Amino acid sequence: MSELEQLLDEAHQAITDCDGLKDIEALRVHYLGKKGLVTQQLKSLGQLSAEDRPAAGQRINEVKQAIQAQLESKTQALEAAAINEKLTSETIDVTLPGRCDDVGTLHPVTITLRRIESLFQRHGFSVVDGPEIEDDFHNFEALNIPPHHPARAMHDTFYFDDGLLLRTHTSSVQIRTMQNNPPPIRIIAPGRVYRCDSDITHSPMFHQVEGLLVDKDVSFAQLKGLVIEFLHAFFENDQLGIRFRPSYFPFTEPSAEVDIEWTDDDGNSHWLEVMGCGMVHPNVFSQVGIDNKEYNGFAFGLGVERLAMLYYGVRDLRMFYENDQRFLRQFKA
Amino acid sequence: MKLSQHWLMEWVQPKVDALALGERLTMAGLELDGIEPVAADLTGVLIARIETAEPHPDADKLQVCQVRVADDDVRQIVCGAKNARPGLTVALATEGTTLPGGMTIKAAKLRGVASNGMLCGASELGLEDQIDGLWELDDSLPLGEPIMSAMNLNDVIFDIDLTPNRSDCLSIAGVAREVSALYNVPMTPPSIEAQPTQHQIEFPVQVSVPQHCPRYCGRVISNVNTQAKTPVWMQEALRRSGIGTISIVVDICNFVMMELGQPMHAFDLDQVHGKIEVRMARAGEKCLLLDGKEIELSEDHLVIADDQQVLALAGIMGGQDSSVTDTTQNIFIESAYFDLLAIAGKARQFGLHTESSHRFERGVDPELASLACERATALILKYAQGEAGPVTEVVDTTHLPSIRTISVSLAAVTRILGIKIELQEIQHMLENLGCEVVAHSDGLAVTPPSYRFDLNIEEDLIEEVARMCGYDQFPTQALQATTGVTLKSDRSDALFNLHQRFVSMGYTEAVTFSFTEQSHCELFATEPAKALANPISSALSHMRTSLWPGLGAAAAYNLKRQQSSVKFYEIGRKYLVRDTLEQTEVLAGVVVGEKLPRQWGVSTQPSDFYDVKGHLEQLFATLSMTQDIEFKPAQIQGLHPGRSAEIFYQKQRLGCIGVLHPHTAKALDLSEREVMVFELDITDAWLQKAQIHFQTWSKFPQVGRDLTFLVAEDVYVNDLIASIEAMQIESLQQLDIFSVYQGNNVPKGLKSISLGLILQDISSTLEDKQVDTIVEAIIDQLTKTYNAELRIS
Repeated sequence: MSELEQLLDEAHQAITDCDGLKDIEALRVHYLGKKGLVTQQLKSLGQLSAEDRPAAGQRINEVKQAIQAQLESKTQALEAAAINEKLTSETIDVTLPGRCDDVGTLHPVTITLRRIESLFQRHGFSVVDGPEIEDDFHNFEALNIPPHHPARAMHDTFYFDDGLLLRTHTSSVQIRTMQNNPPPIRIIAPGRVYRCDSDITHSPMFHQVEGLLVDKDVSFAQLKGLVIEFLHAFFENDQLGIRFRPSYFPFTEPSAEVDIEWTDDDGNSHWLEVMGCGMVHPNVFSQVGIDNKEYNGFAFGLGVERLAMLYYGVRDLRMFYENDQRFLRQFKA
Repeated sequence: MKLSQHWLMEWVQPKVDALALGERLTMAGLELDGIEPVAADLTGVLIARIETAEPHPDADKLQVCQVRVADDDVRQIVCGAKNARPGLTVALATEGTTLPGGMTIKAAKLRGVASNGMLCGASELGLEDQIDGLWELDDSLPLGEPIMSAMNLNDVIFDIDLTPNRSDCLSIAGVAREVSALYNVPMTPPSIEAQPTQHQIEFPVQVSVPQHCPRYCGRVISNVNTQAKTPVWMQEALRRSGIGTISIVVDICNFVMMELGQPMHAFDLDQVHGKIEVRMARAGEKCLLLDGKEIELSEDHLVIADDQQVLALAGIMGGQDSSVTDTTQNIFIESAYFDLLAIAGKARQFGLHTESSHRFERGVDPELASLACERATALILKYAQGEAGPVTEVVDTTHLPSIRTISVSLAAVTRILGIKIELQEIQHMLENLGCEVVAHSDGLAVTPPSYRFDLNIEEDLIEEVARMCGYDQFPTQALQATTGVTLKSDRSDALFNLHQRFVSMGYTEAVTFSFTEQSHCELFATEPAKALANPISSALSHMRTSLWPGLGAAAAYNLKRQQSSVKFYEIGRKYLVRDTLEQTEVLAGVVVGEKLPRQWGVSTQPSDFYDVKGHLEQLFATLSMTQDIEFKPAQIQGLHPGRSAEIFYQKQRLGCIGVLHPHTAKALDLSEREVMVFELDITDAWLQKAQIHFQTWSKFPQVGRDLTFLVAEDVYVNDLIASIEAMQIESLQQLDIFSVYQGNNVPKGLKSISLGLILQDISSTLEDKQVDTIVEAIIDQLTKTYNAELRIS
């Protein structure tokens, strides 16, 4: 075996045995460096005859390339091994929980209000606001509830010594809206309302949403259509049983209460009242100076807690105001 | 109102069962709250009569009774009731009967004596007890008949929740009228005839205020047996209407009220002096009412009086002195029409609510008084004997409700209800409801009956048509879009944005009451809180002047329940009495406890002022408000004097932030840990911000320089920053505080502050020389203004 072939064999063996990137570099220098063994072989070409020179030169180059290729592939292999080793050593327990802050929650009344608002906004209703400490005119008189009307007794009103009161319903916002805006009107008025009554089904403070539409040729049929659409959307169930039954509110005529069909835990089906509504009473229009011959309208009112209780399955109204985090944190919406 | 089906069926007989009838009434606006059977299944309980009652040989309290069930059937029953006596008609639970309580009756020996059944009290039959002991039944009941049929116990009670406009339905007659109209079946009322007079004694009646009492009917009935027993059927009728039995005369008055809807009253005539006068009370007059309460009257109370004193609070409750008792012989019965405005609200003033006031406040048929008077007279003569005198009737027709004729056009019906219906059909419906109807070419002229106070305008009649059709018969219709897209989005959208930002910072939304206790209002406000005149309790007596007491209470509630931290916010109003009443909407919060949930790799640490301030700054940053926000040290009532600040936006006060003063914290039961609070006024100035305008940025490289100064510890960092900003260095892009330090290597009384400057020019790359000039100017400024000393690190 020639010296060259022996060199190749040795190099092959040395590279195979090598197990570090530094050693690889040393081998490269040893064989292919400026003073390396293969380089020396090339330098010794000049001593050969002109006939032998091409073949010998070609062979030396082949050896050089072979060693080079082997060095490269070994380098890659060693680099890959080094990275793998590093990665292995860096392995962490990805099942440990990540660093976290508290998760906040909205109050279920706010979530419910927001759902109601956005459903009506899709129908072009604006969301408006009104004062909670009200006067008798806006809360009662203008809504066709004169003093001594028996409906007043049913309202359990909180009064102040100066004659002002805490609004008993958001219907007062109807009056303020109609006093300040010409028809057509489409509003809903969400907010806090107050009645001096407190037990498992009554809270002295609760929330209502009042709706009002005033326009030309408004019919009970349209009111019915809107209410049904709303309830279907709110409960995400277009098969929900809904019925309208005659009722009485001084500020609407005809008036209706709306019941939905509800199945309780025992599997029994009941009708549950969820809304009141009706066609705006002519006396209300005359109080706010809207010509009832040209315009008419409808109004509706709904109890927010009632809807929230049904939607979330909450049984006790008082939970909404205890502010117990174990309750509040369930409403991650 | 409670209503017996059997009683109703005496008046009208639709061919439907109780459930269907209840459903139909509900759908006609007479909402049914419930249907209850009058009694449980009492099969096996029979009518019987005690023949003999002998003392038990071995027990003092027991009697051995021989009880007849039929001519050839006498059973021995041992009974412990005191009122068991020979001749008494009773309810006998025979062997094998299971009573509502679950007990099954078996033949047994009681102290050695055989007993073959049980004599029952009303409560043992699941009925309300009227007296102690055995249920004393009417002697006319046939022996051996099952009690269910003998006492009509197959009956059900409708509980109807009447709306205030339907006072006409507060009687059997009223509901019967409604049923008759709904089912188009005739009524079969009992015949009521004028009673022949047996003497001519009239008692003088003077109505001094005819505007409040347009009609007053009364009559003298002499020699009444006021000790007569109320017939069991009438007791039952009253019981099923939720009215107790008192005495024969009172029971008859109540019976007629339930039957016809006319509240009535009976006076002991021998206790009435001179005359009956209907007048207003004189201020300070007193009256001892039937319920034993003495009330003091004022001039707006309508009363019935005689020459000496007030006898009754008209239409509400009679007085004790003139009430009918066991010893009464001669009575005067009253059947009047009082104007509802004279009665409305008066009962409530005295904490009263009676069957009578309930009806008069809502309206009683003004034409009913004399008919009811005749009905009561007939019943009294029949069951309590006596001799009736002539009816005295004082009427002032000018003050009776006017008869009104209302026009209804077909066009209006169609427009409002959106249904097609024949005029003839409408006429028929209204006639069924007792209206007089005259048809003309395009509509109807309708005169409502006297008992329908609620029918006054066309819309009222349209509602009647709707009720008779059934609301469920109407079509639905889509809304027409006539309102366009509004220029600005709703304020509530912006509010909801605030909600979401707080939630994303880990806050939980609380909703607390708008009223709280007075002492809590005073914690944070100098103004007096607005007090409720009729609070529900002293803990909820004043309108809140701050949201902090409510939020603080909510925080304390949770900390007591092993919650390690509370981060609450609320959006709501506070109420301040200043020159005018202010109902200001604010966003407030309370933070206490661990900064982060307990977790690995993070040491636990309580939240402090700067955590909460950081939350607000984050909010301001997301709303592009940072440039216009200032926090200024402030003294705020209820807060720590050295740890509170007012917040300004565009130089206007926006709110405040701070740590609770230890006294305040104690008052709110939050003494354990440091409690941070904040409050922001919600105004449109920042809630609905102006449009954002894009700005370009420099393309040249930034240069960073860090400077550390020593300054006196009472120098506010914000003032240092402000003084640098006041230099208006154009290329100063950013200024951060990256370290504030006191301790080792810093002399006492001083603090070390490290500032990071980012410099960048809009039009060229900054030369080192330029940077040095700027930095030196800043050092110079701080040295001069704050005696700051540059620290060479």
